[in-house]
Amino acid sequence: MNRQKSSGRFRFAGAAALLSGLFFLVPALREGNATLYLLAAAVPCVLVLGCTLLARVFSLDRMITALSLYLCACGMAVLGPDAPEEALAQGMRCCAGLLALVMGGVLARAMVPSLLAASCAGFLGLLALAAPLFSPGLDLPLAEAGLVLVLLSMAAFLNRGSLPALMPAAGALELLLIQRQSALAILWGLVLILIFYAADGRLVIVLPVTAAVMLSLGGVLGFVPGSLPAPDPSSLEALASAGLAGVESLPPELAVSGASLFPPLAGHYGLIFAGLTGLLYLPLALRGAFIASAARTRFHALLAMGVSLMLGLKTLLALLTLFGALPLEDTVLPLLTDSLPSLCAWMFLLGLQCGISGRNEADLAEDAHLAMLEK
Amino acid sequence: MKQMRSRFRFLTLLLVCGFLLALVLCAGNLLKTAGISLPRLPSAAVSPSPLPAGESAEPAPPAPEGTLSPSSPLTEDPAMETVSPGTDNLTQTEYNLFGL
Repeated sequence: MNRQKSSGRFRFAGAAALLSGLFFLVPALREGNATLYLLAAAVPCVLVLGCTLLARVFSLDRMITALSLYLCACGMAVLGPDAPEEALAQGMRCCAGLLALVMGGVLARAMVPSLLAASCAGFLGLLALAAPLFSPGLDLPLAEAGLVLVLLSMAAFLNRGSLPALMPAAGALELLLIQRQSALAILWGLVLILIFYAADGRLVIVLPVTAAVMLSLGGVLGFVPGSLPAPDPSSLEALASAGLAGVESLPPELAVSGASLFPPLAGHYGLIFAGLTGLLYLPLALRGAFIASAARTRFHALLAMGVSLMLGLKTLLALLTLFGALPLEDTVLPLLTDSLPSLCAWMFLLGLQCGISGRNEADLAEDAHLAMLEK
Repeated sequence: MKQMRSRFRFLTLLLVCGFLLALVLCAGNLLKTAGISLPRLPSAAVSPSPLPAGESAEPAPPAPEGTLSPSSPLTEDPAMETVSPGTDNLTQTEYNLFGL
């Protein structure tokens, strides 16, 4: 069974490497650009090495590693045809993200959910979220990094009880609402409710938390003017103009703007490919949920589930906003972004899941060893 | 832990349902924007922007000044084009999803 599973993952890694090589090889043959040839060689190599050697050395989950590296390669492929140097710069960002993935894996295995660790993570997370309030000129998007730390703190506090976890969680929600980051606030509110339900299914805990979150979100977003932007049909019209197979030259409305790489991905490769890429987030989230179910400790289970919920809900909110179903301003999918802090934050989160998966496998191996010794 | 795992399974199911719902919503919005309606799909492949039933393809005769004929949404005033949401795909750029 293990051999079948690992051969399936290797097949996916191989297919992903082949596809990511073709992303750059085809335009390289057409234009003869040296940077594109370099990317056509380097990207599949990094993908295969990451899924095999790196995953083995640091005990990372191969499926999560393969999927996240493939999504990073898609982000680079968006920039490749029009701006090969920008694609190379995106490659450097993805390498930094890979480092963050490894760090997340190592931290997940080494971290002990003590009160001190929980308090420090919570404090640093709230500090990162509050940074734009203290220095308005700070242009660094630290919100996602802050949420990562608050999630770590929440999982560590929930290990001991539900009430202490409310403090960093509620603080993060209020800070996001004060800064009018409505999309992230809605995401965090939903994650809060679902994580508290997962950790402590009692109605006496879940109902007040749900009511408090709904009141905060409804109160600020409903009554403060300008909190929710008006629905903008232009992104949907731009995506519709991409067609099923993409366009030869990218129109201005599909160009890279903000940090979202999904519209230009649809523009270059078509709506079918973009839709399939969006659907890849589902197995990524499901794999994290599986890892959460297999975890031995409450802390690791809640952390893995929290990461899955954040990833899944963020993808859903971004896709619904892009296709005009929600009036939010954030259209950035996780990993399909050219913002370095955001990319590193998401890779770090996925690294935490990889580390928890490695820990699960180590526990299973220990169980098998003990069972063999007893015989 | 057992109860927590069963709650995890429920949340996983919620996520899957959310993705499926999002797929349906996004596909529906996209088809609506492209002016394609599923019951009329075979004819939509030929003319991607179908006109409402009963309407001719010729422009309606110019309406008197100051009046707008509610039954002829294709009437255009060159001096002042007002585009209401959802109907501009009937008069302006046709989004050719199929690349034809």
